[in-house]
Amino acid sequence: MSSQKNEADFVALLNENQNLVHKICRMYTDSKAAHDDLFQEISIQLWRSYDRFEGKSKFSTWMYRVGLNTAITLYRKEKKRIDNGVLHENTPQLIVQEYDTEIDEQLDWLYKKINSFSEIDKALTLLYLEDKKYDEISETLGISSINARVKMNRIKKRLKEMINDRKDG
Amino acid sequence: MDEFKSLKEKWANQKFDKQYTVEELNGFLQKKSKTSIKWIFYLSVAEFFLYISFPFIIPNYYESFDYYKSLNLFEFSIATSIIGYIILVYYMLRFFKNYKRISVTDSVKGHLSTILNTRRAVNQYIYFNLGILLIFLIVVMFSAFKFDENLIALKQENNSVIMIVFIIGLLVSLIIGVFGLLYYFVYGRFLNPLKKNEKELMNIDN
Repeated sequence: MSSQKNEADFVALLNENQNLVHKICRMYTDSKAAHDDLFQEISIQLWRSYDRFEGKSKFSTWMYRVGLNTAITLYRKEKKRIDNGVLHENTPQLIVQEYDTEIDEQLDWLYKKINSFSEIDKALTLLYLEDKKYDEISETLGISSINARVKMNRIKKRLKEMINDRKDG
Repeated sequence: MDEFKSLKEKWANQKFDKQYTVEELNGFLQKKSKTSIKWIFYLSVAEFFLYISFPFIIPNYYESFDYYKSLNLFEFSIATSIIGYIILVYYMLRFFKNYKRISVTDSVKGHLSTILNTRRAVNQYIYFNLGILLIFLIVVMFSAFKFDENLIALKQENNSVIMIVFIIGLLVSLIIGVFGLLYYFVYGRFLNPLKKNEKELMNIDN
């Protein structure tokens, strides 16, 4: 395995890019506990593939690939973890321990919307919001860059429609 | 489209209030990975080894060849066993080769494909084996009715042949059904979402 110094370098790099990993976790999970689990798993996978990254591929492509691959292939038991909430007969609403982040009301709404997207659409939306170039999107997902462009236009349209619906509703 | 612009800006500048400390991040690296890929690997290897161990765990495995001899099926039973092991070696090599190619640094589509291909090698192996088993059973059954005196006597008694064929058919479908259910629960729940994602990515380029 890699040396001690290597590990310190890696942790510094991971620390700098925490927000990116947090974004992926927030998109692909629906509770704090699942978020933490996924963050931990992505950290492990990034560390394991760290020596393959060094110098070889673009830093952000490597990070997006590992992050998305881990999020998409990690086995999750159920979509909603009802056992986290308490269900009483006289309280009809289901209390699921959700995020209590105070990021921003608008961002909160966006994440909630994205949560219902398919796993692939989540990946596309992330790359769109991150303003990635078509080439990098193509390289990250393994689709052609022409179609990456088509998809990005669709995502943009979908997001705009969502915002309009929200204003009207 | 002001609101859209502001949303994109907010996205770019968002800060998560939860930030791990360097110590916490260091701790993560010491933790064990929870990935299911290695479980698929262990289960697949177990399936291959189960087949290899058949001669040792099935009682009277070698004596059964004497019975096949009495049915004039000795060469046939030896040939089927040899073919079985050739198929085993072929699929095991394919499986290991694919497994080694699984890499989390691959593109998302590439990663999904290598995982699914690795598992496909095991599935094809199982189908092949079940097919061979089925052919083998049918051939043995037909010969048994021709050469096994006990069965010939039984055949002459009454119309029990249909009954025997029916019972054997029922047993075979039961075995296949149990296998099917097992596979659905063990692999289906993990692999089906991956298949769906792979298809979704393929459709983008079609």
